[in-house]
Amino acid sequence: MLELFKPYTEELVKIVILLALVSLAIAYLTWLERKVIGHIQSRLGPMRVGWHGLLQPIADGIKFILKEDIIPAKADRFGFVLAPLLAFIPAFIVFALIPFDGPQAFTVGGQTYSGYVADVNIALLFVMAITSICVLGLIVGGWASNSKYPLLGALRSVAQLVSYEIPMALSVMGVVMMAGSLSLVQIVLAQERLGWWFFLPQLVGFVIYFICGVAETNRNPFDLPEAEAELVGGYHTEYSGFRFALFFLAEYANMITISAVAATLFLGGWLMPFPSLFAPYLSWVPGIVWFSLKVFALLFLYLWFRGTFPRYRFDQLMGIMWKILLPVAIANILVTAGVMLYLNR
Amino acid sequence: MEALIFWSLSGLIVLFALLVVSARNPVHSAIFLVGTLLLMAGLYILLDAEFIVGVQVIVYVGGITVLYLFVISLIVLKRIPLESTLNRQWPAAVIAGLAVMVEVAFFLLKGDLFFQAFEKKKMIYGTGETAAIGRALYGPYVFPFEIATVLLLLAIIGAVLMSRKPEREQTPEP
Repeated sequence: MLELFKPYTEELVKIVILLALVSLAIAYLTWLERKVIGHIQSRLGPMRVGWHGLLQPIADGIKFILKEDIIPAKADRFGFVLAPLLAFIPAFIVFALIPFDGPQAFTVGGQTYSGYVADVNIALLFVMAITSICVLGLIVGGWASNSKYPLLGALRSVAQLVSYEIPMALSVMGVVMMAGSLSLVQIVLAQERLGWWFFLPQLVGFVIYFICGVAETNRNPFDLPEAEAELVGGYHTEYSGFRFALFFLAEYANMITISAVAATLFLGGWLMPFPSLFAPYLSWVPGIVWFSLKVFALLFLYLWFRGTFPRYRFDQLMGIMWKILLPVAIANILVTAGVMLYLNR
Repeated sequence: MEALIFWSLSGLIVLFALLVVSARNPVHSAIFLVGTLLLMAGLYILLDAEFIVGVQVIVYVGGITVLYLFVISLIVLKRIPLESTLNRQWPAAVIAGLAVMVEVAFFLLKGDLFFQAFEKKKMIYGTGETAAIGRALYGPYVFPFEIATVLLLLAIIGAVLMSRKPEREQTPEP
């Protein structure tokens, strides 16, 4: 049996490293969020555990694991147990498709390895497909709790997520057309060939993608499914302990995914900014550092939104999507196609 | 290796499909349906049809079953588990099932002719890649493709018309 897995040693090692890194990134994203929101509101955020609260996420993790796991007596056990997994597993699978670094990222013992687990030729479509599975976790969890608030929260989330998937998929079409490929690695290489990143010619697509990304992850100002004043806690009201932690981790993993895909599609992935200017001095910086900086910048934007924007009303939410984002995304595809035809005459 | 994956996938698909029809709770049925559809996406991977895999997951798992669950979870489910899983429609279901079986058997025994035609098409458009599907859909098959879009549009308009409340005199805005 071990022989079967031998050809996949490289991938398996990468998957293990990736799982550890992503879990760590999520843990510290929660720390960063509390710090940033704290400072926006003239507070200090967590300060007690470790230097400037740096050990806070670890304390929180231990708390989640040690807490009692409660399954409500009237809940549907099968759905209740399954739902957090349905949300959590796809959120982590996506990272296998994201190129953290180029095809020849690093050399170990004379052999070069790529900075991604898999370069699938329809990677972008796959990312969209796998993230769309997460929705099931929310609705099954909300229904299985057998309680009013989770069900209402779940119905809101599903309406929101299913709707915002449409302009999101359309907003990346411009990039796909310009790169001529659905592979995330090829899209970054196309940006290298072009000399500038796609967020310049595809600014409209970038803005729409990120707005939809914020809505897809149920974050402010689109966090209606979790509107605490109306719905207690949304679809995960009845969850506690580690099962709640799984939902929580999935949400933050999705935030990182959205930012990582946006960085890959629009901000040049692992590429260096202004290569003609910086290449002589900064070529020793590994691509994964540039990639992480871009992802971090987008994640900061998420936190900034949360600190500064009020929540939308539900009808406003749907109005923005159907009346503004969708038509503009379609117009963006048409204009991109027209310009491409004109330039390639 | 490929045969092993194929047979384990097929076995699981049949198992999940049986669970879909035998589960007492409609939500459980829908969850098992998700399993069936995801495993079928696995079969498409074996056939090198990656684009179809992505579309299968986006449309069926992320779209259609989510809508099923949306509707089912709005129904009060207390009574349903008590009812028989076999309702009045079972003779029709038996006939439809037999028809599908005959169809499958026919293609297994006499399918070579058709598959040769498919092979020729494959030469023209290339295999399962996205670009090949695009060329075929917007090339020779553009007319049936557009007809399908009109059909879907009609379905949407029909649904909106049917769900609209019959018009009464306008109540003044509060």
